[in-house]
Amino acid sequence: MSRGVKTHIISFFAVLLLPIFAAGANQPANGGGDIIIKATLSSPTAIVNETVTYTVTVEGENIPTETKPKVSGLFTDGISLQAVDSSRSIISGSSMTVVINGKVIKDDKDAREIVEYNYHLIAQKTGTYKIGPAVIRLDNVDYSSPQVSLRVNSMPNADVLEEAPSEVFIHAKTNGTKLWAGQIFTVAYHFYFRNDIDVERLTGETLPELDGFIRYDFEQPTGRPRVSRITLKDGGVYKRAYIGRLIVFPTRTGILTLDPYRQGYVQASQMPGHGIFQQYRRVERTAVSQSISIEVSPLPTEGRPDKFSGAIGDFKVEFSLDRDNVRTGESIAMTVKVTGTGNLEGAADPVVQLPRSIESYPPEKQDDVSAIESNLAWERTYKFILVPDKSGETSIGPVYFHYFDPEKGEYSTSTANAIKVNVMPGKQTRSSVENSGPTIKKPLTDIRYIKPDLQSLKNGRGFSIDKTWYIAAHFASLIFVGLAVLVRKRRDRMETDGAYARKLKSRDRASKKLEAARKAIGKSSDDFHRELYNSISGYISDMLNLPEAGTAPREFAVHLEQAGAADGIINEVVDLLETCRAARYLPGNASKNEKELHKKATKIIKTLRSAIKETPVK
Amino acid sequence: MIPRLSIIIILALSTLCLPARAGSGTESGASLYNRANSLYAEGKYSEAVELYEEAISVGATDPRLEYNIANAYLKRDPMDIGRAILHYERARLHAPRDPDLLYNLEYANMLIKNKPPVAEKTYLQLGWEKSMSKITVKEAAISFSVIYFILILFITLAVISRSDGTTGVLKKAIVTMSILLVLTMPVLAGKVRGLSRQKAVVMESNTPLRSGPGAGNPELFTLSEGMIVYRRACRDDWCQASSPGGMAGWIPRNSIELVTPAD
Repeated sequence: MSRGVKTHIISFFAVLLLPIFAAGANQPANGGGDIIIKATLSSPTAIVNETVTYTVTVEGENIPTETKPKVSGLFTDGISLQAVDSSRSIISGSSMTVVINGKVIKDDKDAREIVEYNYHLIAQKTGTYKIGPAVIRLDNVDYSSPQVSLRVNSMPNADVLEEAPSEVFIHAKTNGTKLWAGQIFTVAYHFYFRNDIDVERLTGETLPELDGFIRYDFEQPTGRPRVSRITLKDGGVYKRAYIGRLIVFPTRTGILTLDPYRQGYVQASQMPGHGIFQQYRRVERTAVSQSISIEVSPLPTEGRPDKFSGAIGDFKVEFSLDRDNVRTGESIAMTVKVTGTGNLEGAADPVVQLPRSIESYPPEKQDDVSAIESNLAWERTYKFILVPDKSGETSIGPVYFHYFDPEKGEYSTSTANAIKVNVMPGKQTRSSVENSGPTIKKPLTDIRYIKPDLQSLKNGRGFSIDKTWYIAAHFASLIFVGLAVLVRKRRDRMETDGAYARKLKSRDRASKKLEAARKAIGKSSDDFHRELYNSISGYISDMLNLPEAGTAPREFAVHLEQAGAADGIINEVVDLLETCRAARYLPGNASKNEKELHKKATKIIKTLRSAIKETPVK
Repeated sequence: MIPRLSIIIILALSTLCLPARAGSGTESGASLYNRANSLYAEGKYSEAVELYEEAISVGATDPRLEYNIANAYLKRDPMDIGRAILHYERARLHAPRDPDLLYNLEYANMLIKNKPPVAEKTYLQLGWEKSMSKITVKEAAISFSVIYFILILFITLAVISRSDGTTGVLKKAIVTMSILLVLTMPVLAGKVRGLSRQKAVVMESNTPLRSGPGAGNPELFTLSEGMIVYRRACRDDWCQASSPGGMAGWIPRNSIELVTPAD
């Protein structure tokens, strides 16, 4: 394994571990910046040709100027987009504009701001339009607003009146005076004032007291009422403005009276005077509509289905399943939709025919209602969860919805045909259910049983990856690799560099010889002096990489001098070596005090290590 | 003689009873758990819930306890599906392969009303999520660590080895362990990331998810009790939350509860 590879191993593990532990050390995500997106309409209803503003508001930090929301539903037939504008305002934090080298740089750090995008729309056709959601993409995250509904109605037609009851009045026009109990009907109110009357503005209105009726909605045009000029049949010229529509249904039978509608207005009249001195007097008055008599008939008993829902209008039922292949114990999502016009308020659910082997849960119900010309348009959605408990082919449905059709004056039934479903044995089939035929267990009794009694329970939060010791242990283990690399490097050098190897081993070898000399004290003078001599000469030879044999004491002195050793230690070495040689080769010169000599040699070896500053180059 | 023997026996019995009496002030989690199990068996689910909750309050975090309390929440009248799913999810953190737990959790999920649409996923994503759900963080961390330390050992031995034969074998082992480590790493990273996403359960039925933090903001859609959401930033009493289907908005802080409770 090359040295480069070894170095890279450490980097590899550092890179490998850091992201994991960094992720572990992270606190739970805050989800980036808080972006709040809203979408609103200036009015949820409009009359044809009326202008409505759809506003998307984005609140957050550092919202890029170039990022604009994508809004679906703006380019549908029936709605025309006239103009788009936007505005930006800081609501908290700081915003600073600086000029650097002639460039204008905006610093919006920490600034929380609101950006508003206004889409000015013109409603062109009647109907209900879904606008949105508005989606803005910031930092690769989509933020979306809720979808909004715009209901566009035509202006209710007004009758051409025979005559005017007064110079200012309200005319109430209903779409029928003979109704069935519970049938939706609408009353449109038009404000009339004679051509020469100056009505400056309308003030508050008072809706009729409803006795025997339930109000579903009161719809008003947005902005100033649009005024048109008409001529009545009696020749009177009047101005007329549509001011609202009441949507109600009768709850009692018999002759019911809908009280008058009252509308306040401010009338301006000229005071005597001319030119710039002309003055006007303003008087607040109230215009009143006629009351309306309605004949309400009870629903016929003849032909009434047992499971009549109570709905009055014209409806259609349909349903769908999210799958037609299922295992026992698994769920099927069934969606039943009742759509049509009329009154579904308080109506019973459709009749869903299910085999006994399928368990059904109470459905979730959702209404989407919008007012159309003279009625209400409904889309009621039921979501059932069905759980088959028996395998085999079965049918879900049919679904019936019984309602009363006020146009035909009779009961009708809308039917959605059955759908076949193939039920396969489930993984968790309960044999008791399989064998017991139609007997269905309630699902809640079917959950598996609790765990048995225990001697002890686990306590505490247990293992956590962000524990310091866990992370530290992984990094600490890299030390072993580092040590191994150092060991390997030392060994490789020892094998290739003889001088280095000798130097490393010099002390051990010298120590061994000193020990041998110590053992020879008092026993063999020759052995003692030989070992002592060899320990010093060997040590110097190893340290300076000199030939071990054949080097005279004076030669050692020269080498030691070259290696930077001080004169004192050099003299001591030469002196000791000469003493040993004399003791061995000149009889009678044996040391008197061998112990002292041994001590001296030991001291010299200790001193030499630090005395030799550099190894001479060979 | 007999009265003396009786006194000795009574004293001995009293000594035996001492630890029991001393412990009665703070009943152990296991004891509460076992008592709750008995109540459950008798059909007293509400009482069982109380004892299981008490066991949790004394520090027990055993998945079997979480499983049993979830069962009791489902069984009691009225059923508390939010709490049931919360405790099943907590049990799943420690026992993700328990077949009883998975079965009951599936049942509980089936009872959630008005489930939101779930974003379509590829087979690869589904497979990955399924595999990830089968292991705990602890298991992922231990697997990673074991492979990692073996790899370190092999590298150390390879560095100091003198024999070419041994070095060759070690090199192969290093490559194998490195591959295993690289495979284990995303699993651990995924689990760690999963922990950092604050999984929470909706505790109230018909909780509106709004476009901003405040009741005055438009409602985007309604969350049903028991649904899983991921909590993000919180501001005052409102938290940003996103559903697994990708829908995001703001909900009241007290309408959700974290699966991994905050410290």
